[in-house]
Amino acid sequence: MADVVRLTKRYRGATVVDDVSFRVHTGTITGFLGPNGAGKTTTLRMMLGLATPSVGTVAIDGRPLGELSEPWRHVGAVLESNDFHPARTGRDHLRVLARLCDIDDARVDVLLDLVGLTAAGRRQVGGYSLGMRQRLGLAAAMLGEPRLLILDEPTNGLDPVGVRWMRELMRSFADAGGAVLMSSHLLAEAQHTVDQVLIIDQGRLIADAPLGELVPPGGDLEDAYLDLVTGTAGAVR
Amino acid sequence: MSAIASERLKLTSTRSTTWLAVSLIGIVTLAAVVHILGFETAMVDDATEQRSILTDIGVSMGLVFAAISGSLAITSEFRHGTIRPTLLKNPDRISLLNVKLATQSLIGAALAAAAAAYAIGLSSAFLGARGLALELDGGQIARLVIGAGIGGAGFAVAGLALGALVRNQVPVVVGLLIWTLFIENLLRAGVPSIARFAPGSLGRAIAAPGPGQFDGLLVAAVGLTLVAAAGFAATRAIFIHRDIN
Ligand SMILES: Nc1ncnc2c1ncn2[C@@H]1O[C@H](COP(=O)(O)OP(=O)(O)OP(=O)(O)O)[C@@H](O)[C@H]1O
Ligand SMILES: [Mg+2]
Repeated sequence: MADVVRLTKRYRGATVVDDVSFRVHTGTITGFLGPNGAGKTTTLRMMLGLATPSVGTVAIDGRPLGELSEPWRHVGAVLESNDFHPARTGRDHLRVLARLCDIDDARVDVLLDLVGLTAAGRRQVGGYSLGMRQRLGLAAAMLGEPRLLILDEPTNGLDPVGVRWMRELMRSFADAGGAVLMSSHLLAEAQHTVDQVLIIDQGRLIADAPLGELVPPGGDLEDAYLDLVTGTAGAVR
Repeated sequence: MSAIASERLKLTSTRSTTWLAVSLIGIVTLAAVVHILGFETAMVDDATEQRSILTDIGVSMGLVFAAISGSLAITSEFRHGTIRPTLLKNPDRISLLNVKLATQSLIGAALAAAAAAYAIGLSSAFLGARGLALELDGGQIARLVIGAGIGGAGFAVAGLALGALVRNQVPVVVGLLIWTLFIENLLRAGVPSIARFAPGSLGRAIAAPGPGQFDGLLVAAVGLTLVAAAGFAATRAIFIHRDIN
């Protein structure tokens, strides 16, 4: 569903993503883990065409993003939890994006309902809580019925009910034949959610394995993670 | 065209453009009070003087606001982060800028032409109240309004180009104000031979003849179009390759 091959990003000589290759599989939720500054967001931005790789390629459904005639049918994403005009209503935010994809307003209302913002959708986003913004961002990502969802720290700032809601949504999305790639720092939560684990550290991919392989029965994802990144854990770059 | 429909809804779903238009009307009103009501009779009673004042308070202000409108069309996307969801749905950055070019040149033309028309109407009323009259003929009035419209389109495109290059809203708007209100005036006083080519001089020259400007309407219009088009083409080439954080 998504193929990342030898992806590398250098900013003025500093290599922040270093020869990273992985694949996101249909029907799975892949957790993208790693310390602050490891290169997760940079990798996701390159996958989504917002940043140009220094080296390497990304294919979504077998083709580069720029060659997909209707990219919204292939991939939807949330990178920041606050990418909204504060004076626009939540519903209008979605309608603006729907126009770009030739999607009608009926689908907008379906999505508002799905994320629980039907009533709030008529209000300006400036008055939304963090959880409501996360939900609105997710609705925008799902607007074009994509098969791949790319989410940067989607549970960041959600309350326990919201976290469970997000987990169940991702699960049913994957079960319906989609795929999810999500970055996270919440390892206990990720252990509940993901099937496949990618760990990146200082720009290099140091683990790419099914959860069950990385974590022994009864074990902790946190322990496995700390074993792998111990040398650098706690260092902020 | 779906991208144009999206851009239109972007503009109508917030009040930014309305506020811009209201501010413009406020400033033109203030300027008309100062110039038409405030100046002594000898400074406002003949056609040449009136034309020059109307270029200052109507056309020039309209051009500045057209440029600001063009710049906000892109800088507000960066300021609020909406550039990301927009490009995630349509990664074609050239089409994004082209759509903004189309919509903003219309809005810029409308803002500047409306400012000129409003300035003329209000000034005429103020002159009447002083027992004077608007001495411009129909052709001169038409040229002020239509010229402001043509100039406004060019200024909106130039503002859009600057916004796409710098991205950061406050420096762009401050830069536009400093350029149009100060630097061009300094140029005009200091090096008039170069100042003729400055966007503000070109824009004014389309609307009315004046000292230190190109004489022909057509020359000025072509000049401004070239300046705006070159700026837009250059920043578009940069914009499509730069990373978006
Ligand atoms: N535009 C940029 N210019 C220069 N350096 C950058 C840029 N964007 C990111 N970096 C650097 O790249 C490195 C990786 O950043 P990135 O945001 O990808 O990390 P991350 O894994 O998402 O971290 P976090 O968990 O804190 O979100 C950091 O050292 C960061 O400073
Ligand atoms: Mg990050």
